[in-house]
Amino acid sequence: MPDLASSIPALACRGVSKSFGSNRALDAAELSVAAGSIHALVGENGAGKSTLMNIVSGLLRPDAGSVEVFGAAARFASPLDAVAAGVGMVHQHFLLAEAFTVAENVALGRRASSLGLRFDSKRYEAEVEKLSEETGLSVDPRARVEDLSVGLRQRVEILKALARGARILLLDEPTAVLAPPEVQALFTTLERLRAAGRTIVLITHKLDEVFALASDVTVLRRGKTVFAGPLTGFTAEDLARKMVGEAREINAERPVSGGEIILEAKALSVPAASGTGLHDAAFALCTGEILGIAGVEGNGQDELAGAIAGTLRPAPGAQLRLAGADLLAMNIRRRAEAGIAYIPSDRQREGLVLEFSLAENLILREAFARPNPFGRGPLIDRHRVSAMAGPKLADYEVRPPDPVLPAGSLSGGNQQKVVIARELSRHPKVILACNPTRGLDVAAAASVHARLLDAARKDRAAVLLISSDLDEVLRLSDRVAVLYNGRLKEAGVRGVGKEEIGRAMVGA
Amino acid sequence: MSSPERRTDSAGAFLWPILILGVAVLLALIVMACGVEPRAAFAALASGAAGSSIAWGQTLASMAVLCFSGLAIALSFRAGIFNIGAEGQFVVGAIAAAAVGTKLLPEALPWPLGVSVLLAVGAAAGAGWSAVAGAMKRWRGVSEVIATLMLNLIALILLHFTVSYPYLLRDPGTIESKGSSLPACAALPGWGGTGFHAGVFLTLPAALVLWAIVYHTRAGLSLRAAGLNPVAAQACGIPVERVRMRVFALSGALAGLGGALALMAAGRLTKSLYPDYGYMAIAVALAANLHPLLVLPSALIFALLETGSKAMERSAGIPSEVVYLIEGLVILALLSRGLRLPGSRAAAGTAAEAGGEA
Repeated sequence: MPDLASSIPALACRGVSKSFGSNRALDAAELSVAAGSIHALVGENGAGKSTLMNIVSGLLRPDAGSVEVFGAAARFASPLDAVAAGVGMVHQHFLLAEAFTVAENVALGRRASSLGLRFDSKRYEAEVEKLSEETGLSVDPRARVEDLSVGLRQRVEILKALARGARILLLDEPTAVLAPPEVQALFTTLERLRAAGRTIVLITHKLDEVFALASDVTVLRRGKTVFAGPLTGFTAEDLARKMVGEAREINAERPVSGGEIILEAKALSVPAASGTGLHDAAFALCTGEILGIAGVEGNGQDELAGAIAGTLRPAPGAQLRLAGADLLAMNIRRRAEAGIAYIPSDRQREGLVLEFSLAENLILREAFARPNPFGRGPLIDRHRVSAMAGPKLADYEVRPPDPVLPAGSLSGGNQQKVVIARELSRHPKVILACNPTRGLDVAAAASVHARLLDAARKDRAAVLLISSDLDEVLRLSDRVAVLYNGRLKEAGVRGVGKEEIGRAMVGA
Repeated sequence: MSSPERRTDSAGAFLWPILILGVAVLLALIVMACGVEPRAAFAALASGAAGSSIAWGQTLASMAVLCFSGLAIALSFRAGIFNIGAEGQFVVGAIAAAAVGTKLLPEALPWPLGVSVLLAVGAAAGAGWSAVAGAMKRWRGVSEVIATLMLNLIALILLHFTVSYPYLLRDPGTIESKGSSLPACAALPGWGGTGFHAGVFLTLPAALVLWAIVYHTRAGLSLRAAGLNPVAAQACGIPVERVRMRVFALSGALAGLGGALALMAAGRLTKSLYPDYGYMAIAVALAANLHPLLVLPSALIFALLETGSKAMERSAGIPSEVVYLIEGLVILALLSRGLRLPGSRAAAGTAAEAGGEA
């Protein structure tokens, strides 16, 4: 805000601590965001970024420390208090009512009229139009959210926050779900909002975004602020080293293999589960090979993955063969036994039972094998399970490697490591990996990539990598295909241009 | 959840105890309005529930019924099934056991055999009744809440019909509507007219067996996974629909077994064989946090209140509904503390997100 002295930070966190059980998520963390700036908050998964933002946006209360908004002490009892103080959060997973229009979503949660009886849609449509004009966030206020693309939905989220008077915008991994052109549009928008005097805090894992947008950066590591200051004079390596604490690199170099065909799909059509459905897809996957499937989400990815994993049933006439055997005739358990591993796109929904211990999550597939690996007859011997789980968690670098902890208490990156430990330790023939590094930081993503490469290179597993992260697809894949509007198109071998695939992803 | 981050606003945290305290005062006022000193009312309650061998006998017999139905509910809820049909499954178990007991069972059978046969019949009938709701859910998508509730009503009408209509289960020797007496081989050993019967001894092994199944077997693993996150369970190869079908049958069998026990303890089928205990069992299971072993003490407490309230009504003139009011409040208080049922994913999601990306 122009009328405020620039020396007062828009947002200041001092000595903020927060523990979940014995897990200390934040340990006297510091954050100071100058008014009218774009500030990047970076750190590994489990570093405490989301916890800090949840405190600032009123979802959580700190155990110790204080938060100040424009110099005034802020003790938020609920997200509504934060909104009232001018803090707006745009979550990674959008919180929109899909059946409602844009204007209705913007109005949601606010007093509709003085009596609260009548909904004045004209008023809110006008308000959205006015805001759109001011900020360049153009959206049709009368459009239903369910008809909008992911990029537009994000605009609605931002508009929602602005309409409630947000002076500080917190964006959690805003580019995670966007295609390259949409990312560009978002950057332009954020720059424009900043120029108009708003303060923006960008939580991200992607260092190129930090350099493209932010003027200042705060680095969190294991709940502590390890660096805070302007970005000038920094390189991406410097920043990565601060985040991780040590240099870690992955070596994507590997020979293009010429194994025999292990997984083959023909005429694979799947009715829409969430997006466009899958139409008449065909591909062949060889042992030791990584086939990357790029594409913006909702273009048939869920349907392709579901048909292979066994959670969705393809239309009649489809063929899917694993080493010659008919995969479609097998149930999910048989497919796993035949050598299919599945790393789902949404680990919390499809990958893990969050209330279960890590050990229980690890045995969800193997416990039903014959003979029973964990006890006699129908019994499960907890000691045997723990004896298996402990070393496996250590091997896959899950932190903390305690088999009795509930999966829900781990950070996202460590939850993903648990899924990967369960799926890859079985030495599968085919690995179906869907957005395997979504929401993970550089180091955790590198470790996941290394695991997948290892499986392909050393174990000669075939990897089908379905990802909306184009860099990831290009970095790992031997061959690349693109899913657009439910159709799978081979895009070529590695080395193919990023621009070209990016255009194919958005149908240009 | 290792992060029990309950986002009750600070007002809410104080509101509940105050509200409960307020209602407690209100109840005391109601008791006084009935013209009785509260202390006398509670004395009547206590002595009626546990003041004599007869009181204890009735309490323990009630506990057995509540225990079996409570286990049935706890098991279902754990698997993500909101089965509120223990009432109907109990009644159908009793009817089937009465039919076999009075029409088919040879008089000369030794009692352990006769009792076992009727227990098996009751369990099978309860399982079948529950499986109807399971099948409706699985293949027609009918909500199990609706299906079990309707089946409860049908079971109750069936009970009234069979004990009222000649040629069915009605005792032809009386003008009252009640069933014929069971043969001697189906008599549960009791304890000198106290109401206590040998079936009470079955509750502990039943709870232990279920506890072992839920926490120490592969079936229990799939049951709990299906309840907590059916999507993940399915993706990991657990046949969620089939698991739920089995849980429907098993919980029906438990409630039906309780029905057969109650029938044998009573000696004949009547219209009022522990009425509404199947609904009270929901409270029993919730108070036990759906833990099979905790169902035992929970059932005992509810049984004490139940027999005590009846005695209080007789000796002190306090309506027994006052006790139901208290029970309802206890359940509300428990639920307000954030007892989360499997299947309520919204609550799990937010808690996980709060702690998850920490």
